[in-house]
Amino acid sequence: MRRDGISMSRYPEAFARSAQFENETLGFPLRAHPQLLFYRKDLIPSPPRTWDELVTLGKELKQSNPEISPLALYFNNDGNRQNLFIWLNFLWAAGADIFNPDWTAAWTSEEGLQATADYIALHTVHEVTNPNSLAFVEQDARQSFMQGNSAMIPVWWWAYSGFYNPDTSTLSKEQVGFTGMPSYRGRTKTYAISMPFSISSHSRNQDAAWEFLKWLSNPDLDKKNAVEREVKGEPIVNNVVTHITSLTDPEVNAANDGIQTAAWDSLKESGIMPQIPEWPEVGDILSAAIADAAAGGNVRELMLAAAERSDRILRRAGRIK
Amino acid sequence: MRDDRLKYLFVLPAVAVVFATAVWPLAESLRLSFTVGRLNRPGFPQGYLGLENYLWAFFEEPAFWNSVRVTALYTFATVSLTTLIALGLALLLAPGGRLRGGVQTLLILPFAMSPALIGVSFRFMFNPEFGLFDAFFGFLLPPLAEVSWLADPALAFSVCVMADVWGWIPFLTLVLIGGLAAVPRETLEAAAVDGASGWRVFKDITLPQLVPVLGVVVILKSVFSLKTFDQVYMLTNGGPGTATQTLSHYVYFNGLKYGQLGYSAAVAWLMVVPMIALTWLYARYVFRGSRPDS
Repeated sequence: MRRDGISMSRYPEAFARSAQFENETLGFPLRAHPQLLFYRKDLIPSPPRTWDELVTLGKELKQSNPEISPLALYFNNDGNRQNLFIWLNFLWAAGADIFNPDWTAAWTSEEGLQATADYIALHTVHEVTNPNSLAFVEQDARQSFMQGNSAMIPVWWWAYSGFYNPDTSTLSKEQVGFTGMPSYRGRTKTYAISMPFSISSHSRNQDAAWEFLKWLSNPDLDKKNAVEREVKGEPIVNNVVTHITSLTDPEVNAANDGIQTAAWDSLKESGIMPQIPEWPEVGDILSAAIADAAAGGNVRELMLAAAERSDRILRRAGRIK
Repeated sequence: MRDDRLKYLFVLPAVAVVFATAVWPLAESLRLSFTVGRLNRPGFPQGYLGLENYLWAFFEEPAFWNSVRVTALYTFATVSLTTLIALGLALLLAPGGRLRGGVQTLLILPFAMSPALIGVSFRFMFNPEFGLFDAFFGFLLPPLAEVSWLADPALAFSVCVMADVWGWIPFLTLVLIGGLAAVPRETLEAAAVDGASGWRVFKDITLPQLVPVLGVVVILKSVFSLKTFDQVYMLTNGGPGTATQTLSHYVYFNGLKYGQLGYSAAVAWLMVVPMIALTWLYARYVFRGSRPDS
């Protein structure tokens, strides 16, 4: 990378971190996603900027449009920990975290428990979510939005083109708007995800692989992929870019209704999930606790029980000394 | 070559295949179950742990006991429902009639579907917004219209049972039709001539003679229910929460998703205990009439 003048600073910090482990760069984030709030422009003239505003708006929407649910959320634990995606916004914005520096559970701090309770309350107390959100995984929630059954959805930016694609959605482009994720307690911190590409240490052609990876990840191709609307006569739509230069490029933004500007804003304070081998197990425990809480369980008891199991697992794995 | 040696030579390839695909993997998994066996760490299988994986399951993992409970309930519900419904259908279809051939052919279709496909289909059909069954039950019983079947722990479990019962009824029905055909017609006719009611004929004549076949059916179905994985994986993936996490699902998640092959091998071996008991019972039922001394 040094020889070829490539720096990870070309990516937003959360994207770069997702391709690094213990400060060592292991690959490039070739496809990566920030979270945005998508909403129905024909129903919501001014999108909410905070979760409190969203609750107020949701209650108004239920009165004015009772046939449409205000918010499509996804509380079901499907094995991919999707129901943690929005929870992390609440948790981090409250100043809490998943783990303490010694790898014990940190979500049991008072701030963390309150943030979790407020996230669950969207469904159980304020009832501004789609009633089927307990059964929804992310795909179901997107379907609900595209079929006109829900008015808002917080989800990855790549979903944008699908929301107005006449083959998959009942909505037109004029009906679909997007904005940054709502803030919680005056702060916005979103979750970002990426798909890094690396070179295997077993590769027999590492130099060739490096040349290919350089070409595949170069900023010009990143921009071209988001601006082109036709390849060999076939129409294409893609708004996903990973380079800061593409996110802030006027031409890229003009071709994509300015979604990159909203994304860049979302990524300015953004985090990733923990990078330890035990995370899938702990994450699934948390995911099941969130699903049970949304189904009416006691938030505090469930999160404390999840913490106890997490600590036990990480102790057994030798992570907690 | 002498005949008694030749016969061993003929069965040797089959024995070798069974050894390579069943005995060796079983022995290897038993060895793994006593090791750390973490896939996501160097030096696999890392080191000898003794019985720690087994003790961890028994004393430290509530999720293990939850999956034991789910599997036991699931096995009881699916075995009893499938057997009862299949028996009823078999009694209806056994007398024959013009439609029997066509009905039997139709019956085999659900059994021909892969469990994974059944899981996906039921997941779609119980989708709260556009699911066919969801709308159907809501139409039949309006209070159910607002119910999200796959979101409620008890209902999600019942959907898993429903899907399994639907898939297995045809096969068990066909087996039981075969069993009913073996009941001597003269005994049934004699009972009818003596004025026995239909219920008495079934209770005192048909059922006692069907017990061996029913025994085999129950044992076979119990084995398949105990190791249910693919249908649950596709339908609920163990959720909501862990309400439908069967033991096989728990083993898969621990072994391949969390990389704890040693621990998942230990749990898999714990599953072997009821399997061996059922297999022994099955062997007793099936082979008891074929022993040379019987």
